[in-house]
Amino acid sequence: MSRSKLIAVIALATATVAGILQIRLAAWQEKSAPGTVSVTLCDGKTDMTVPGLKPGERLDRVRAQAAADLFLAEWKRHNPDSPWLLAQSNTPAQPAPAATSQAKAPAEPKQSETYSRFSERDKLVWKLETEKFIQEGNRIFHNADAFGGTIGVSCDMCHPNAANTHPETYPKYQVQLQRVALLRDMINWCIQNPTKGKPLADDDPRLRAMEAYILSQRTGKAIEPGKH
Amino acid sequence: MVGEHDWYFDMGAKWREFFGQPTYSFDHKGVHFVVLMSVVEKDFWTPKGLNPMERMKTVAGLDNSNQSAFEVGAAQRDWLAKDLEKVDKKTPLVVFSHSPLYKLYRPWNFWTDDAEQVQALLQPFQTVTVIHGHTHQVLTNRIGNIYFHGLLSTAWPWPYAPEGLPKLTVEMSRANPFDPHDGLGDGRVDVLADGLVNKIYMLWDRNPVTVRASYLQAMGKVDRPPAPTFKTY
Repeated sequence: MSRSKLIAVIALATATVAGILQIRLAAWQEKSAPGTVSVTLCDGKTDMTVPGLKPGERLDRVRAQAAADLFLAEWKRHNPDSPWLLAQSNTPAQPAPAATSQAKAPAEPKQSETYSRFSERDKLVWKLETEKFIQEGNRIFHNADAFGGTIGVSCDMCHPNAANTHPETYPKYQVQLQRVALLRDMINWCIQNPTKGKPLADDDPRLRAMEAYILSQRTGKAIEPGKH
Repeated sequence: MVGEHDWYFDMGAKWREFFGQPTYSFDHKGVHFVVLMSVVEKDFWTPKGLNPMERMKTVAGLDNSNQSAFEVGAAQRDWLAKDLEKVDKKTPLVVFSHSPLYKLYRPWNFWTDDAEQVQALLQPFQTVTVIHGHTHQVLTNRIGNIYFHGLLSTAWPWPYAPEGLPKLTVEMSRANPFDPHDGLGDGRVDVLADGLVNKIYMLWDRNPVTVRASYLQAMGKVDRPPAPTFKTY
C-alpha cells in the first residue's frame, strides 16, 4: 500500500469512528434542547432542564443541592398524592382508624404511584431470582473446582452451612492482613490459603454468588461491624 | 475405630484388610473397653445411582442433607448386648465410637439414630464413658450414668452446631483461620481409680483443657473448664 493510500484509509477510519460517536452523543442528548442538560426525575416520566447548566459542565456543591431541591419540588408538583417521606420511612400512610368509626376497606394502591407499582408477580420474580443466585453460591461453596481450588478442599469442609464465617461482623480489622477486611477479602484469603487457588476479582460472579450464599445463611443476625 | 471417611469408598474392604473386624472389645487393668462402628448408614446411594467416590464425598460432607443418619444398627446392638452379659455391672466401661452416641444435631450428622437403644444397654453399669470423634471439638455431655467426651481433630476443626449443644459443654474458642494448627490437637483419657475419667484436650497452639470427672459428677457445679474467648458464631 502506498503512503498516500494508507493516509486515506486512516482518515476514512477516523471519520467513521467520529461519525459513530456523534450519533451516540446525539442519542444521549436527545431529550435536551441544544446547549442545555435535562434529567429524568425518579417517577421515570418527568423531564426537566437543569437551570444554567451547559453540556460538559459540572455543578459545584451549592448549585448541585439547589438543583436537587428543584428536582424534588418538580417531582412533587407532578406527583402531588405520592407520600415521599412516608415511602422513605416505610411507615403507614395513615393512623389506624378509631375502633368506633365505620371501618373502610383499605384503598387499593394506585398503579401510577412510584412506590406502589410492584405486583405479586414482581415479588415472585425477585424471590426466585435471589434464590437462584444464592443456590449458585451454595454450589460453588461446596465444589473446589467451581471456585478454582486446586487440592480438592472446598469451603463447606470447614464451614458447614457457612458456620463461623460471620459476615455480619465485617468490615473489621484483621491483624494478620494489616488492614480492614471485607467478607470478600476473607473469602479470597481462604481460596488462596487452605484451598490453594487464585483470588477472584471483586466483580467475579462466583465471588458475588458465594457472598450471597454466606449472607443468606445468617438471615436475621444483627449487623455488628468490627466485632471479633 | 471406623470413621465415615474410612468406610464409604469401598464399604470398609481396605479397613478390614488392615485392622480386621470393626466391632470388638477387650479388658485391660479392670476396665472393659468396647469399640463400635457407629457410622452405619442406610443405602441412600443405590437409588441415586452414585458411584463409590460420589458416595464417599456425600457421607464426608456435613451440610448436604443427601445422606442417611448414622446408626449402630441392630446387628451390633445384639452383639453389644451379648458382649456385656458376661461383664460385672461394677466394672468400669469405656466405649469408643466415631459419632457421639447421643442426638446432638441431625443436619450435620452430629448424631446416632439408635442412640437411645445403645444407651439402654449401657445404663445398667455403674460407670460408663463414651469417647467419640466426628465433631472435632471439646464436647462434653452426661446422660444418667453415661459420660461423653468428644475428641479433637488433627486435620481441621468444625464449628459448634447452631443448636442442641449439651449444657455441660464449655465451648473451646473458635479456630483462628490464620493459624493452620489452631483448634487442632490430640488428647488423653485418664481412667481414675473409681472408673470415671478425666479428659485432657491437648490443643497444639493453646493451653491444654482438662474436663474432669468431678465436673461431670457434680453436673457442672465444680471444676468448670475455662470459658472461651471467641465463641463459634
